[in-house]
Parts: sequence; structure tokens; C-alpha cells
Amino acid sequence: MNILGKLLPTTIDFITYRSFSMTVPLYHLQKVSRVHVVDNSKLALDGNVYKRMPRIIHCYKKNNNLTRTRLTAGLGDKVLLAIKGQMKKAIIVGCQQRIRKPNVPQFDKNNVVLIDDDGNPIGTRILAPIPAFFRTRGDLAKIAAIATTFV
Amino acid sequence: MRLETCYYCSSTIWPGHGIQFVRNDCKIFRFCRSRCHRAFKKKWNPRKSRWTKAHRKFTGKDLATDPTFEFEKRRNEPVKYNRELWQNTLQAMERVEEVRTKRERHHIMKRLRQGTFDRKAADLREVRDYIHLVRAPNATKPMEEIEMVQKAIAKREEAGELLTKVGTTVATTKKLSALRRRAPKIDVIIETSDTEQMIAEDVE
Repeated sequence: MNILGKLLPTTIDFITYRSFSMTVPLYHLQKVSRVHVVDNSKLALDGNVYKRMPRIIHCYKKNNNLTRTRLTAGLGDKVLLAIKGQMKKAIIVGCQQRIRKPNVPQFDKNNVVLIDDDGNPIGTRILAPIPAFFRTRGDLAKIAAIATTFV
Repeated sequence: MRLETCYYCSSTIWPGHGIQFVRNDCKIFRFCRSRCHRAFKKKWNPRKSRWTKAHRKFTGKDLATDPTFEFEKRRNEPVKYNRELWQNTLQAMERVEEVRTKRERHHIMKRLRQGTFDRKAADLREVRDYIHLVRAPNATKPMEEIEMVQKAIAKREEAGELLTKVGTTVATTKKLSALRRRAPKIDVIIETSDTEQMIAEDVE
């Protein structure tokens, strides 16, 4: 009985403290997410230093169940950025979000590579490391081609 | 498949375990478990966390520099496949591991053995400082010491201080002569306090 008496107060505390949501914070990239461009194109170099960081305005993602205002993008997805007052398409090349797939690392910043409308990268080199699965996916092959290091 | 080492604690990361973090300067950090990952995020220095291998090597507790470590360094040049080279390397790996573990253990034993000397020295110091609790420090010869103790006992008996039985040093001449040969062993004298004597009397 002594043991029970010792246990009861602590269990009650436990119950009262757990009244808030316990979901893990999401680091999805979505509208207004600030992003770091990892190209060596002129727009990228200027855009990173501009008064406003490059931001995502729209995520192109097929078969997305979320509403248009809550579209999220992850590694390898195409997005629309606002850089230096212009709109430019880009592909997400590094996420701070911890993606629970094997051999997919988490990155320091949300890295992005600029593309034109055909899907060709604008710059000639990518300065940051790129996840290895970019080599195997056909639509990301052009970006893998100009990458320097893979992770 | 490749077994990596954790950046923080230097343990092996098995496939399916751990977190990989890539910094924008292309440096890859691998962690074996969330404990190490969280420590890294808190910007703790692994050399200061006492449970990491980095700390042990930094403070000299484990073997840090040895030629056997050179074999396991990462070389970034690809080697053309050669069957003989492969087999020889496997044999060499076993031998190198043998030698390395022996040396690591020897390093630790050497470090710990110093402790036995230190403890012995500490014991000797303790005896030197507190021998007055056991023996008469002013006695120069064994017989003198015995006589001194006996005199002290006799005095106390006279004064009626000693209440229970006393472990005396010498009973027979045989013992005396034996003691002359080696250092006297004085038994502990157990005295009971007044309260204990009263309790004993009540019990009786």
C-alpha cells in the first residue's frame, strides 16, 4: 500500500501534463518557406544576397490530398520561387526535415536548384551535396549531371 | 554496405541505424543514435563528454597514436580488384586487429597498474601519519614499547578506568622472545563506555 501511495501522485501529474498535442513538428517546405539556392547561376548568387531570402510561392505536386494553401514539397519536388522580385521554378535538393527513409540524410539548410520551364538547370554547377537517389530518378537526372558531390 | 563510425561517440553505425546530417560545406556527420545527434545539436564538444571515445583518447585513457591505426585510415583512391590482394588484406586485417587490441589493453593495464603503486604509497603515508592510534610512537625498541604499553595498562587498572577484559600483549616468556624477534603485534583494546556498562548491568 505504501508503494501505491508513492505511485499515485506521480501518475496523476503525468495525466494532467499530457493535455497538449504531441505530434512531431513538421519541417515541410511550403508556401513562404525560405530557401537557400545552391546554384552557381547569377540569379542564384544575387538572390541569396538580396534583401529578401528566396521564398517558395507554389509547390507543384501531383495527387496532393491537401488543400491548395497547404501544399507541401519535399526532396526532389518542383516548386515556384520568388527570387529578387522574379518568379522562377526550382527543385528541392536538401531538406532540414528528417525524412525517415534509409540513406536519406538531413541537410543544414533547405537547398534548392533553379530550373527553367523545360526542367534544365540554369547554373552549371551545384555547390552543395545532393542525395544519392537523384541519380536513379529519371526526371532528376539533369540535376544529378551537374552535381559535384553526392551523399 | 559500409559500417560508418558515429561522429560523436565513435561507435560503429550498423545499417538501418542512426541519422545522417549534411552540412552545406559538404561535411557529412553520422550519428549512431539520437543521444549523439542531440548532443551535436546542443553543440557539445565530444572531447568533453566523458563517455565518448574522443574524450578517452584526448585524455590519454585509451591508446591514441599507434602505427596500427594507420591501417584503418580512409583512402580516397579506388583500388583495382585483385583476388590475391583481397585475400591478403583479409588476413592482414585479422592480424592488425589482434595486435591493436593487445596494445590497447596493455595501455590500459599500464595506466591502472600505476594505481596500485599510488595506493600502496597512500597506505604507507596513512600508517606513518596515524600509527599513534595503534602504537606508542616514542618507543624505539620493541621491548621498550611493550613495557610502555604494560605500564600504561597498569596505571589505568589502578585508576579503575578499564572495565572489561583487555587484550594484553605478552603472556608468556615464549611470546616475549618471539616478539623480540619481530615487531610486536598489539591487539585492539576494547573499552566499553559508562552507558554500555550500565546497560550490561541492567541486562544481567
